[in-house]
This record gives sequence, structure tokens and C-alpha cells, in this order.
Amino acid sequence: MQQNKELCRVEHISVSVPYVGKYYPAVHDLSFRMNVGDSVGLIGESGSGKSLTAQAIAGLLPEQVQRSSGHIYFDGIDLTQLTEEELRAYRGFDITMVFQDSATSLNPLLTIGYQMREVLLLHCREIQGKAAQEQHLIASLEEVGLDRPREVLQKYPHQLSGGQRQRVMLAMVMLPKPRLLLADEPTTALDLTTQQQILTLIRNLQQKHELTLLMISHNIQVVRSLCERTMVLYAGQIVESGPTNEVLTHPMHPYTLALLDSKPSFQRKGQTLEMVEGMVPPLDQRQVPCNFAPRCPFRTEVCDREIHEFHRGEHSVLCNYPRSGKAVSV
Amino acid sequence: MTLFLVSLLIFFVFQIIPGDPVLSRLGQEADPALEALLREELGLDQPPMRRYINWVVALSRGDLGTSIRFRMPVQELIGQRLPNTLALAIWSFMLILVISIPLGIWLAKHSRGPAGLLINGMTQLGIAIPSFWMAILLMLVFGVKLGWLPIHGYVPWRENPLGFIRSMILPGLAVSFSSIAIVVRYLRASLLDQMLQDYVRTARNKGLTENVILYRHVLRNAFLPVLTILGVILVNILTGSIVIESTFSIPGLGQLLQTAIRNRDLPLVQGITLYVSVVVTFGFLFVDLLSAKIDPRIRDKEEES
Amino acid sequence: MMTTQPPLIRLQDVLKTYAAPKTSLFDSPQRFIAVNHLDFEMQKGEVLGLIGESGCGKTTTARIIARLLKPDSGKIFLNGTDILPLDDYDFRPFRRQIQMIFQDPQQVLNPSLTIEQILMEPLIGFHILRNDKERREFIRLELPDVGLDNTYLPRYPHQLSGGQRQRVAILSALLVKPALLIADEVVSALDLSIQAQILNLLQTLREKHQLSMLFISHDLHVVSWLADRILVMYRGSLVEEATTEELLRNPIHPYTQSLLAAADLFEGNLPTEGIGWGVASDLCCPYAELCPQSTELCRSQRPPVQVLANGHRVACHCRQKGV
Ligand SMILES: Nc1ncnc2c1ncn2[C@@H]1O[C@H](COP(=O)(O)OP(=O)(O)OP(=O)(O)O)[C@@H](O)[C@H]1O
Ligand SMILES: Nc1ncnc2c1ncn2[C@@H]1O[C@H](COP(=O)(O)OP(=O)(O)OP(=O)(O)O)[C@@H](O)[C@H]1O
Ligand SMILES: [Mg+2]
Ligand SMILES: [Mg+2]
Repeated sequence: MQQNKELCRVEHISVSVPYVGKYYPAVHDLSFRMNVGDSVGLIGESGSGKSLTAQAIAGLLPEQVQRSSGHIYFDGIDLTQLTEEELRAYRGFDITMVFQDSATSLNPLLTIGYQMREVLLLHCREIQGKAAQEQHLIASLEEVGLDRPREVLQKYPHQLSGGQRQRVMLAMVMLPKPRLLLADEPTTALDLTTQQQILTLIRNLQQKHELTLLMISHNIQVVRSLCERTMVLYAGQIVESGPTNEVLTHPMHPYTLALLDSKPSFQRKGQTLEMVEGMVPPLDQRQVPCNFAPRCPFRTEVCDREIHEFHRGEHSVLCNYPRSGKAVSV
Repeated sequence: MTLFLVSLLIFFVFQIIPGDPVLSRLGQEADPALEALLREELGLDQPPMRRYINWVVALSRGDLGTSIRFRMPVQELIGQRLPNTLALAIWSFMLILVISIPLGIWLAKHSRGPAGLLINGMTQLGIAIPSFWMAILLMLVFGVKLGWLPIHGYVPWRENPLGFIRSMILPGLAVSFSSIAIVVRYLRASLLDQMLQDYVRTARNKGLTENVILYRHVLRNAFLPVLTILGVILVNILTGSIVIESTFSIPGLGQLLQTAIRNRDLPLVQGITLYVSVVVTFGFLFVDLLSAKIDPRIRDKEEES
Repeated sequence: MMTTQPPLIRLQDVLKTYAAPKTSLFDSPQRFIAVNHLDFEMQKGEVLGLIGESGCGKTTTARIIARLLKPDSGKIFLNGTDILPLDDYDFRPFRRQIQMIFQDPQQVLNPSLTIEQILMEPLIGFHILRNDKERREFIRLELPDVGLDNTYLPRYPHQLSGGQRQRVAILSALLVKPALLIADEVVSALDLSIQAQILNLLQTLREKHQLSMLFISHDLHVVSWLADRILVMYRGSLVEEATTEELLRNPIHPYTQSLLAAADLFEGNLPTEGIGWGVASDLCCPYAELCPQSTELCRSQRPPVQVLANGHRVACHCRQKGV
């Protein structure tokens, strides 16, 4: 698919979060763009700001969290200049999001059917009549591998298993065949076979309906099989980005390298797993230029003064001493 | 079960309360022979346990005994007064719902504006004001100053329905005022709390309008904690009406209870208290049923056990 | 080394059903079988991996063991004591021994308490350490184990990222030093590096303190790295159980084989596309509809669990006939 029409462009956004009375940037000066039909993976340390980034694009940041600067262009329109009312026109179909906590993201007092029908009534007006709507919902639940879909529609969220709730959320946001899908860890509770089915479903949507995807996941396999491009986030900054294959098999940033090395497997049964020593610096102790420096085995005095971006083709990395890109087997 | 405990409690509490109905009837210096005769007639010469059993046995037949003061069957007395008290209670309850729900929602929406803060502060005051004080205030303003509404002089429903309604407006307001304040505050806090929940974010993500989110998604959830205090509100109304009825001279159960207590009319006091307890117990039962109706999680829990 | 100690936990014929919602007005009320006559036991210090597709009853099983859910029938023994008939008061001495980390930490962390208060609660509840000052110090000492630091203590759960909340939940279960840890999908919200850290921590606790774990996960790499034995569930039933080595080398049940094939852990040539729905029932093999080897027998009778060499257990008719 050769399309280069830009759908969404994020320019220098920063997101600040409150911590003991003051605001600190949890996402710092982030920029990237997505073309129509693109699929971009976002990986990185827990707490690095992946969810906040996605929520910022969707305009759904939590109450006390602020987007302190930057612009988000969608279809050439700057979303950050719009009022809440104007933004609503984009939600659900143009931009939609799957949230990380599927358990609390559904209303506990309403049936699954009711909550899904809401989307249908709002965005799929062409489907008329109760029976047709019902059919549509059942088909969409079957697509995400849910058994006995008719019963699922009657159930309340607490009557579903973790993975079933996650799939309901996915089915719900995909009902209107959205243009931009921001998926925050949508498959954590799914077994491999079901996961495969979901990935196939997303791929179909991409091919048939030009879905653009931002996929946040800790699951390297998922990112690898779905995303053309991958970005690695560390402490609120993109430290590495490029074609998925490049980034995941020839990582250049020391963090990415260490991250991919940590994978447990049966072959290494019981052996202590590799992990990145140390911790992400707390919000109030983040340091410029390089946040990874305190944990970095390759750090020199240069790293405390300045940081350079290094490019190799489309693959870019924010590090003074990029690794040669030795192959990692994951 | 609960009702059994309640009956036990009511009976013995009133046994302990000092004061002798016979003496209060005949006067302190009564003829001892007459006194003994009356005691026997009222069954007061028997030991308490025996009397309790007699009372419960009669109760199971629907017989609450005979009032000492009025020399009439207790249930007949209650039957006469009950409609007025019920009317006042239901009227107050409606006032509470009709005023506090919209007000709570409005306050939650404008929680940050100056008007919101002002009214919120006023509700604080509303909780603190005792209902009889409120009653007097209302009487002064609407009854005496403006002369819009009667301050007392109860008008029976059968004689003049309109007059009855007019005569109930002020007492209703007085009874429900503090409850309204409580419900408003509770609902507001609960709404604000629910607005921060994840499912609200999901609803926004769908593209629903804020009003739809509020009325379809948030209100139900916010109502659950409010339901739990509704039982307390019911008690609040009933106790409030006891005071208010005499202030506005409405011939209801509250007034009757006061007379009964003043005369140490044990059967009557016990009868009324039992009645009120039954109403309160059913009130709580109703609240439980309603919670289960709204919340599927509670329904499932109940089914489990 | 032979011990006559009873197993740490033993499930005997545990059954759990839920009311199925009516899909039409005329349906008679039906029960959905979530856990179908499950039997298994765990020894002290052992890690049992519980795997199976989404919705197969793993969380339900875990909640039953943690006594958060009452099974319809069956028995559960903890150190030889039948814990189901105990009332809450009699159960109290056992409460501390079983800790569960939930699949969705967001749901169980009290939103109105700070992280510090959340972590203090179990310590206070079980009277661990002498006073609050010691408890606070203890918490600060343990935080780095899960990759967090003091700066998280004054925050509220909603101010953390998904993975950070998950780690708070893990720590709060570990603080009380349980004998059995039920870990429901605890590392799936964590990046590989933090995941490695947590797994290392669990491994250390197991070696040092003989911590037993019921480890539920969809990630077969993780399970096979950590678990001594693996139990495979399908539609509420046990289909196979064996030591990790045995199960990976010699999976017998067709469902297990397809699971492993999907994860590239088994090099047989089996279709990975096997989506479809089995049934939880007493009248047939739950996997009969999908099984490439199913026979008439599979569709008419539920296969009994057979014990093979090395404690390898499997519920499959084909095996019985010696196929
Ligand atoms: N509402 C909030 N208030 C204050 N701080 C917040 C809030 N939400 C997130 N944070 C902080 O911002 C940082 C980034 O959070 P974010 O949820 O984006 O992480 P993440 O990359 O999605 O991590 P995970 O993989 O664990 O979900 C974290 O350190 C978190 O503690
Ligand atoms: N309260 C309930 N009422 C009705 N059915 C329920 C209830 N809780 C769970 N179920 C059903 O029981 C089955 C087992 O659920 P359980 O949560 O144990 O699955 P699980 O194996 O943990 O799945 P997952 O991996 O998706 O978390 C599911 O099909 C679910 O729909
Ligand atoms: Mg996140
Ligand atoms: Mg589960």
C-alpha cells in the first residue's frame, strides 16, 4: 500500500503531571507523524508516558493532567485549538481509543449490549432496525472470538473474564470502522490464538478501511507482526524510532538493547533474567540531556553535557554512542 | 426476625421508663382500692414477662390493646391519625426527591462557579438548622409576613382538599429541609466522584455529549451511595414530623405520640412505636431492593448466597 | 526425600457454575459451567503454571482458592484442613497464608488511599511488625524490589501508570509473606525489563522462602521459565497436567499441542488456526468439536483424567485407547 497522505502529526507535545503540588513533564517534546494506513508501535518502560501520549492525542487526558505545549494536527486541523464541543465531532469515528484498564473502562451498571448499541446509534446510522443492529453487534463480537455473543450482549461487565472484557472493548471501538485507532495494551489478557485473531482483524481493517493504528504494547511479538514502524519511549522521550524490523532486530539505543535482552524463555529456565539495572529517574529528578545516563553502561562525561541524534536511513536514535546495531534474537 | 427484636425492645424500654400510668390518671393521692382495681383492669398487676407475652399474642391477632387515656382500641386511634402522618411523610419525601436531585446535579455541574460554592455552603447550614426552628422561620415568612399560607389550623382532606394541600406545604418544607440539604451534598459529592471514573472517559471517547454521559452513565452510578442514606432520611422524616405536627397542630401520629407519652399511656405508645418501626423496616427493605435493581453486582451476590 | 506432609493446597472435585443470561423470554434458566470438577494439588515451594484460553475459568479457580468465591460443590484443603466449611472467623489464621494478585489491579486498589496507605493496610491488618514507624521503613525497603521508589508513596492509584499500579498490587501481596501466592496475569502489563525484575524477585522468594505460586499467564515463555508444573485448562476442565519439561517435550492432549504450537514451543506440525468454541459439559469432551482426532466416543462421554508416568495427567479418550 503506497499512500503518503498525512493523517495525524504530533508536534512537540509535552504533558505535565502533578506530583506533590508541582507539575513535572511526564512526556517531553514528542513529535511524530502518521500517514493514512500507517501502523506505528509504541514500546517502552512502564511509566514512560505511553498512555499519556495516546490520551493526549485523543484529547482525553485525566482531569489534573495538562498538555503544556505542542500541537496535534489531524487532517491538517490543529486539535489543540478546538473546544471540547468541537473535539467531540472527531471522537468515536475519526479518532478512537482502547484504554489500558478494560475492567474499569466499562460502565458497571449497563449491559454490554447497551454500551455497544450506543456506539452503533451514534456512528452507524445506516444500520436501521433493532434486528439488524442486533445482528451487527453479534457479528462484531464473533469477530473478536467471543463465544455465545448473544449472551454476552445481555451480560454486565463483571460477569465477563478479563480477556472477554478486553475483547468487548475492542469490538466496541471498532464498530464504526474508525480512521485512527489508539490501542493501549489491547491484548494483555488474551491467549495467543485469540491474539492472532485480533491481529488479523486489525490487519483486515487496515487493508479494507485504511485504518491508521498507534499500538502501545509490551508484547514485542504483537508489535513486530502488526507495526511497520516502532518508537521506543524512555522517561517521556522518544529515544529510538524507525522501521520495526530495524529497531527490534538491530537496536541502537542501549535501553532498547537491554529491554529486548530481558525476555524469559524455557531454554533459560530458572536462570536470572537480564534486566536494566537501576530505575527510571523519578519525575522530579529527570535530567537533561539524557535521562538514561544514570543507568547507561556506556555513559561518559559528554552525556552529561549534550546529546546527539544519530540517523541511519529511517532509523534514528537519541544517543551519543549508538550501538552498532548488533542482531538481537527475539 | 427484625420485627420480633424491635417488639421486644419497644416493650421493655417502655417498662423501664419511669412514671406510672395509673397514678398519672388518678392523681398522686388516689384511693388505693380504686388504684388496685384499675391496675387489674389494665393488666398491670401481672409480671412484665407475662404482659409481654400477652401483648405479642394479642399483636399476632392484630390487637394492639386499648389506650388508657382515650379508652379506645389503639389501632382505631392510629387508624384515624395515620393518613395525616403518611400524607405529610410522602409529601416531604417527594419534596426531597424533587428538589434535591436536580439541585445536586446542578451543583455538580457548577461545582467551581461562585453560585455553586454559595449554595453548597448553604446546604451546610441547612443540615445544622433544627427542623422546628425552620418551621418557625417558615411560619414567620410565609404565614405571618406574606400571609400566603396558613400557619396552623389543619383542614381535613374530606372537607376541603385544596385547603388540606395548602395547609401541608409549610410543614412538608420544614420536615424535609435538612434532609434535602443532606441528599444534595451527598449526590453532588457522589456525582463529582463518578465523573472521574474510567467509564466516563470511555463514554467521551465514543463521542457522547456531556449531558448524555451525565444522565445515562453517571447518574445511576452516583445514585447508589445516595440510596444507602435514603433509609436514614426516612427515619429523619418520621422523627421530624413528630415535632412538626405539633408545631403546625396537625392531628397525626406524632401529636398522638406526644399525648400518649405525657399520659404514660403505655399501650398507645407501644402501638405507635411499633407502627413506626414497621414502616422504617420496610423502608430499609425497599432501599435494599432498589439497590439490587440498579446494581447487577449486588443482584449476583444475593443470588450466590 | 520423602515427606508425609499433606500438600499445601488440594482441590477436590471443585465445581462452579454461573447463571447464564436468558437470550429469549422463553428460555428456561440455565447454568454455565465455569469450573468443571477440577482436581489438583500443589506442594509447598512449588510453582504451578495455569494456562488456557481466555474465559476458560482460570480467574474463577483462583478466586475460589482465595475464598473470594464459593464453589457449588467440592472441597479445598489447605495443609490438610478443609477450608470451605470454616466461617470467616475460623478462617482468619489461614487468610494471611493465601494472597492473591488480581488481573485488574485498578479494580482492587482503593482509589481514596495513597499508595503508602494501601501498602500499610495488610501490614496493619495482619499485625506485622510492631508499630507504624517500622512498617513504613519496611515498605521503603521493599519498594525497589518492584522497581518503584519513595516518590510513589504519596500518590493515589489513578496517578500511576498501568504497570506501576500492577507493581503496587504485587508488592502489597508479597509484603505479608504468604505461603501461597496466586498471581493472575501479573506481568502482562509490564515491559520486558521490569517483567524480568519481577520474575527474578519471585524466583528468589521461591528459593529463599519456599513461596508457592499458582501462576496464571497467557505468556507460555514466562510460564515455562518459572513453573515447575503446568496445568492446562479448557472450558473449565483440566485437560493436561505435567512437569514443565514433560509437558513441553511430550504434550499428549491435542489442545495442549495446539497451544504450544501457537507459541512456537512445540515443533510438531499442527494447525495454529484452531479458533472455534468448545463446550463445558458433562456429556462430551470439551474439545471434541475442534479436535482433529475426535471420535464418536469423544462426543458422547467426558474423558476421565488418567495418571501416566511421572505424575503426567491427561483427560483424553484417544490416550485411553492407546492411540
Ligand atoms: N493522572 C496522573 N497524575 C499524576 N501522574 C500521572 C498521572 N497519570 C500518569 N502519571 C505519571 O506519568 C508517567 C507516565 O504515565 P503513563 O500512564 O503514560 O505510563 P505508561 O508508559 O503508559 O506506562 P505503563 O506501561 O505502565 O502503562 C508515570 O510516571 C505516571 O506515574
Ligand atoms: N459473575 C459471573 N457471572 C456469569 N458468568 C461469569 C461470571 N464471572 C465469570 N463468568 C464466566 O465464566 C467464565 C470463566 O471466567 P474466568 O474469569 O475464570 O476466565 P479466565 O480464564 O480468567 O479468562 P481470562 O484469561 O480472559 O481472564 C467466562 O466465560 C466468564 O464469562
Ligand atoms: Mg499505560
Ligand atoms: Mg482471568
